[in-house]
Amino acid sequence: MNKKIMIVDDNEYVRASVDIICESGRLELTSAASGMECLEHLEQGFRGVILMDIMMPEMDGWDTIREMVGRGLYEGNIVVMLTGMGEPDSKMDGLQEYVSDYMTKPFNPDELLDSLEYYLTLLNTPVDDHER
Amino acid sequence: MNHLKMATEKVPILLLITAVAIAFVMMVANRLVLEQIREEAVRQATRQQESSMAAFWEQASRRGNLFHIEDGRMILGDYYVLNGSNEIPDRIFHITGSRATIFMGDTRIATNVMKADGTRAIGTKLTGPAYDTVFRQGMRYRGSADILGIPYFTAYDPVRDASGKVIGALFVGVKQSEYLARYKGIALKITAINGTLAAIFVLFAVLLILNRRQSEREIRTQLLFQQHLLDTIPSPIFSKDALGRYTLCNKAFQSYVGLTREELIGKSVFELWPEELAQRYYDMDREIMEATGTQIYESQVCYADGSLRDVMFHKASFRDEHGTPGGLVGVILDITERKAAEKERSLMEAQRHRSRMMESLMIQLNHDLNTPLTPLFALLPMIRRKVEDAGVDRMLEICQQCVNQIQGLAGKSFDLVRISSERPRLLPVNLAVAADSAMGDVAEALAERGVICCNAIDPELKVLGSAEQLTLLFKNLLSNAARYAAQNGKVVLSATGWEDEVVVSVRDDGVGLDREHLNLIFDEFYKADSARHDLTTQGLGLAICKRIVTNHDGRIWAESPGPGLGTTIFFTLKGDGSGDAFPALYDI
Repeated sequence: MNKKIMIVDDNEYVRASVDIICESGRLELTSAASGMECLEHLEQGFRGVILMDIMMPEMDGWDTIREMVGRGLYEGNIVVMLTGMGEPDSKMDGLQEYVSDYMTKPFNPDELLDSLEYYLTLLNTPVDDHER
Repeated sequence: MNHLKMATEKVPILLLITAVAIAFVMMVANRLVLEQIREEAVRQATRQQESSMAAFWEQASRRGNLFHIEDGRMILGDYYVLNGSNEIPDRIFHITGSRATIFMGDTRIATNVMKADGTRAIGTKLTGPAYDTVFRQGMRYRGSADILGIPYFTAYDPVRDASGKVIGALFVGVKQSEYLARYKGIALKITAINGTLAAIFVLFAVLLILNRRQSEREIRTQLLFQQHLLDTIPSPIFSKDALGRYTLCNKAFQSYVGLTREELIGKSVFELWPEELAQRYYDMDREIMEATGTQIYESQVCYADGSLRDVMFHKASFRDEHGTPGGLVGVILDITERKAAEKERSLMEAQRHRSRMMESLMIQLNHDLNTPLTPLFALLPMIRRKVEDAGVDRMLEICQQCVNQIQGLAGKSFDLVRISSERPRLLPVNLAVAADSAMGDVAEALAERGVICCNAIDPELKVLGSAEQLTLLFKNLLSNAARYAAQNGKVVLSATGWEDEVVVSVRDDGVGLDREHLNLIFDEFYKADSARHDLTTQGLGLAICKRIVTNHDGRIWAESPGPGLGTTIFFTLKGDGSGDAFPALYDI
């Protein structure tokens, strides 16, 4: 079963916290400090649940999703956006369909784990089964 | 203008005097000419009597040359009796048109002079100067004489016998009235023509004057209208002639300079303003007059009432028909209010800019606060799970509360700034759905104290609003209720209303409020006594509610029967106008 999670956030401590939470839940975490790093991991074959921060320098969360879709790297992933309350959402136009959920920062470790496990299950359920 | 007025007043009088003088001269000349014609006529009449007398003597001489009186009769020649013999006088009348008479002594013995009764004046006597001349002096008489009371042009010749003694007289004459009748006709015609001409002349002068008066009246009316028009315009208007003297101004200009029209007109700037200012005005006027076209410039002037105004001068020069500068016209536009409005606009623009800056600052701050809060928020519960020492756990719990407080403060401040920065677009929103969504957000807080929340809002009810802000509104009200409702208490959401206004209430059965706090609770950072030491609140919740309701053009207020008796928060929203569905719920 795929238990791969990727955290994309420019803040080192946020990444470290998510790492600790994932470790406690026995999930494999890949860390990306920027949108570029995220894309690199995807190019190298990462597929799983991606926790994507919106506000990042240079390339923000929305730009990264656009690039993922553009490069054909979206398939096989589930994207959950990490957002602060009321952050601008003007750039999300047309990209909502690629986002499965929003998680408000700061988040509770149990909520995060529940959510990640739910999406991993969804990801691991074969599409055929789904349809049946 | 006074010059012109004087001239226009004098001209008609002069014209009338001239016309009357010419008429008078014409009448005098007429009279002199007629006098001369009359004198000529009289001379002619006298000459005519001379020739008539010659004809009389010639007629007499055909009958004889000597006159004598015999047996009381006058005889010509040897036998021709003149008494009663009217043949000769009638012949003379026939030939010359003059009446003729033969006198024996001073008595008419043959005549065609008629008496008043139409019979011949035989037997009547000669009297007056003619008698004296002929019979006393023995001389001829020529001239005017009255015969039987009627004036005649006459000629009397004495008739002598052989001894030379005056024994009678011959008379020829015409009635002056008959002779002068023709002259009088001519004179009348000439006088009539001259009189008519004189009258026409005077009449013409009078008409000319009347016409001129009419034109003057029209011009005056037009000038009055023009002045009235100018006076009605609130901007000061003036004009100057080529020498820089004021020729026209309106009321606004008078009040601007604080002088009357009479004090202004005809004066130059040097007579009205201080030397330095006058020179500056004069130079600017010269500049515009020499270079044709318009001149527009902004300036600040001090009105006579002492107010300092921002103005805009519009000046244009004009030229006379020869192309030489004729003067200039000017309008002063008061742009003080426009300037103030511009200033106001730029202030508002600056304020909007500041509020945009504030918003983006808050977004950044919120993000930057949330980012370090995330690890704290995520890790503290995990640490506490691993701690077995109760003292350490208590310390960690305090840390956790502080983190919660920081996070709440950041979130609420951000909410307050965001909802204050611009008014939302109001669209039809299902109110019950917004309330449900908020109930979901605060479910945990409600459950913590066993508070039951009942949404009694008609599920069909729609209001005009922003779904996001209304959810936030309910969320804030419900978290308050969750906090202050009685343990295991109840919160009820309901809405009543009409088409255009919906009154929504959130009622709890909790701590209640003092009367003095009812209005203050909507102020930012205000906390009622019971909440003052509650570190989990920020005192911003109801302030956010108030802003949201204000954004929806509504009112918000609180009612409480008193401490311990619960609180109800009311607010109004606009119905979406469909409003026929919602009383149904209350009928059940």
